[in-house]
Amino acid sequence: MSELIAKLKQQIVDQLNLADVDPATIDENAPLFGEGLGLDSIDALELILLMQKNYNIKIATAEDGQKIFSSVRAMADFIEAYQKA
Amino acid sequence: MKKLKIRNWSTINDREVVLNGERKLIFKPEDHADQKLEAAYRALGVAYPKFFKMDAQSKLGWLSAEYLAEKGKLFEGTEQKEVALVLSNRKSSLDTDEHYQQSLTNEEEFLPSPAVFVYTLANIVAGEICIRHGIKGENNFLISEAFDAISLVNYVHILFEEELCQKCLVGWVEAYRGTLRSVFAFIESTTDEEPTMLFSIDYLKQLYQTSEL
Amino acid sequence: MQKPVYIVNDHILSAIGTSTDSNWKNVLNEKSGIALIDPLFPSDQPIYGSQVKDYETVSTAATKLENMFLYSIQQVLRETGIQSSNDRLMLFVSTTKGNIDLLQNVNPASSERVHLAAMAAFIQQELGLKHAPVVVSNACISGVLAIQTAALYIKHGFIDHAIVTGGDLFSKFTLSGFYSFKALSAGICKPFDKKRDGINLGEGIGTVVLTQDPVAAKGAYAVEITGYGSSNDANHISGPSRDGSGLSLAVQKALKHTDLASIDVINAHGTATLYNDNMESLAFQHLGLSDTPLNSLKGYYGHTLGAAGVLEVIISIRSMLNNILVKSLGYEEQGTEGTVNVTKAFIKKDIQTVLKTASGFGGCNSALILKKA
Repeated sequence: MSELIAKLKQQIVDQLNLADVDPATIDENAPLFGEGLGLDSIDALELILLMQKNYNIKIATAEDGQKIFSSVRAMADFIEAYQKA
Repeated sequence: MKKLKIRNWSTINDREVVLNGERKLIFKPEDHADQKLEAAYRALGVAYPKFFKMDAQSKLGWLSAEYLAEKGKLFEGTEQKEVALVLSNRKSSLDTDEHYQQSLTNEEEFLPSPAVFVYTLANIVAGEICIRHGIKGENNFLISEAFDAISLVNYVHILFEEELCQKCLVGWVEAYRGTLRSVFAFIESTTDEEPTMLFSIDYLKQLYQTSEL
Repeated sequence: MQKPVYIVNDHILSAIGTSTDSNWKNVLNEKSGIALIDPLFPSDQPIYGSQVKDYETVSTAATKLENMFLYSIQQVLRETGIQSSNDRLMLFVSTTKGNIDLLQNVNPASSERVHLAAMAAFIQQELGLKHAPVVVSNACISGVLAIQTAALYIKHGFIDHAIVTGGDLFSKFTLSGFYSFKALSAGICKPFDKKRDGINLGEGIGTVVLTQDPVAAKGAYAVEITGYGSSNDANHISGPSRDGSGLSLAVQKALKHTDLASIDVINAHGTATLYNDNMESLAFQHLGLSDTPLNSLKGYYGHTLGAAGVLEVIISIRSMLNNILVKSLGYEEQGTEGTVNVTKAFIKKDIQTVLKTASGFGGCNSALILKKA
């Protein structure tokens, strides 16, 4: 799990062009939107691409994405659950 | 007719950043455009993480406006809705258009990126500048074969005459396949009999010429 | 003393007609140009759009978009009294992506005309126009903004007449982009409706003739441009500002010489995305326009991008000249935070004054006031 979380943090920084953010400093439990990294609606769509590209997971709408993307940990949990299924 | 003056101006090309005729930064010749743009950003010492999400042209425009801003403020004492932004270039957003187009030909995976697509419009650079400086007034983006001082000066004069603006940021901004060129001028009305930098067709042409490599 | 500026003639080329008359007839019959399209790329949803299938090849050297522009401009030139070579005539071109389909080519010669001003210069040459066209490329407000720009040029004496033409292609480039935004409706779009789920893209040309001399221009009618204004939300590059304050600014500027109460109908941007229509509703409510009849024409045409502002102004002019409110196709039930009075049927009404608005990527907004002369 911790490996997945570390990998995810790097992927998020890459996909979202967060050039000045050191992945290690991202708190996996902090909200991704609003506060925390302060991501926006385009970032939400890019995270959907990230899930498709790296994990072959299709998320239909930005609304579905909201819960899954609430934090890095939430994303990791979702991916693990998907992979186990 | 209202007399207009240039309060300050900036140019950025492949070689350097210039503000009011004074060289602010010289790029390393071996650097790529992206590295030059980052160097110009770092030299400002401001924190604006959204910079790194922008495409080359938006970075270029954002920087051109940022260098004009004194202590981070592009204008003071004027309502945001009274400040206009009129930009121009020849290539529209072609640099990013080509990147986006490439992603469409990916046979294995069709994953067009919204973060890239959003920059495939000429005026997005204007949007980024408006967000940064709180510019809420008149907008326009004019495409021409070459820098068109006549159209820009005439149009900006019209905006002032119409009282559609009290201040205006006007210029040319184009980033394409690693080549950078921008010329920005901040325009205000003046009661000076003979302003140092009169906003005229000839003067604007000269400023553009100074950005020639 | 500045003379008033009028729109005096027009032409539409779209999925529902090759003339303004045929377009108007189809609109009155609620015929939409939007249909299910053959997939241009792998997609998770059905995609609808409005395409021009019927167009004349005016020049074999011209691209599809150029032929459409040429045809439309020729139609208005034929009818007006203005010679194409008139020194006091200027062409204003509104387009977001121009010949974007040329990006698919490897041919370097065609890549020249992917440049918007080169496309405009080609059109100028083919038509024998004196001056280099002014090209406005400002996202989805381009059409409305181009009309404002032309009106200002005339008002301030730079020219006497203007042809403003707006156009864009239905392209894989743009379609895939809106798909990446998950902004495409899975059906025919429903502006302002509770069940709206996104846009349809459309293709076409809208062309208008502006002049300060309707007699010399042999105008078919005279609708005065009595107000204009543009603005920026300064909030986000793709999402409109939540409260519609940017759009309100543009409308307030356009209302400089007009009483709010005299607006008979609003032709909104109404793209049918959740956010755009909601933003517009809040702006109109804030301005005190909740009761004013409002429509969107995107249910007939889809979102025609660079053509939208001009094309929709033309239909609004027909609405004015015929004193009939145009039904906002696709609307059934209130679905926005702000209260707006969406027109659900074709209703006879004395229409003197129209407010036209547009908003676009980059946070821009544009507004025009049109008044029967």
